[in-house]
Amino acid sequence: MPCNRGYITNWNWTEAQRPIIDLRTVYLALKKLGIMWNEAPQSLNNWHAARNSLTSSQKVAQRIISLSRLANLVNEIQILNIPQITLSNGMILSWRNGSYSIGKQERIRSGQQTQTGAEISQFVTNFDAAYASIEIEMQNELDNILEDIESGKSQLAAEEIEAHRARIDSEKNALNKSRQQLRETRMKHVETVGETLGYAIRKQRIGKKIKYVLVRNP
Amino acid sequence: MCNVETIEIIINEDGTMTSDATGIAGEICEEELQKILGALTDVNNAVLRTEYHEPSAGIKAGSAKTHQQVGAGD
Repeated sequence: MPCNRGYITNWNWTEAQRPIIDLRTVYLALKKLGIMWNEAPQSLNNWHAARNSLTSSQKVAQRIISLSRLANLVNEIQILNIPQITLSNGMILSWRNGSYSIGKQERIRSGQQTQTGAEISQFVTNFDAAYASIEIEMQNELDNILEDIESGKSQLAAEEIEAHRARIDSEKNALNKSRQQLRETRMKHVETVGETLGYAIRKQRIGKKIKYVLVRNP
Repeated sequence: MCNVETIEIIINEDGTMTSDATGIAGEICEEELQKILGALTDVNNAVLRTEYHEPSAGIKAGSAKTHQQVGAGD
């Protein structure tokens, strides 16, 4: 067994610039970066395969089946409870208060500076950019389908339109639910901790934003 | 008379947050934000607004504005 004397084990955690809340976006962002999600859930692999199989060359009946399958898989993925995602580059995504943080374990000599801090920062920057671009890509894809349906450009059969709408609804609902959960977790946290620290708390709704004003006399 | 410490926190539709703090000195402000928001975001990585770096005058105030993170007073 290796001698651990004089060494300490650290975990370095970094937040992404945007909350990482959606497993499908995480999955595609990692693919884009060429990093493996070790032991990804089967439903995510299936969802990815179903998404890729969706082509205009498919027969209508086949496409309707694929679309329904996609909608079901999105709902399945939504209820997955994954506290930790292990990546092939040694990093870990850990669920914390409504979103994922990115971290890596390191073993260094006592008193030595962190070796992995810069590495994590770089990865978070790359992941952040990939996550953002996939998010936009997925959103645009759905918006374009919807636009084509609304404008009549796609000239689809009623059944297929219905299948497209069901898929779009499931994807949008999944994202909205994750965002809502994140907001609620954060709201509850601000209220609880603020109160514990002796602040008077005023809550205000400004459109879709929630504003908290915490006031305390020192 | 003591200055009143005020912290404004906005939770946006997508769950990102911004904050403003007034009446709390820089380092203490950072500590305070760490206590309130540390479990949610990486307060140390906050993007600080210019007020943070300005010399203090009278009431100390400052803020940070970024997607997810939160910053501190001067």
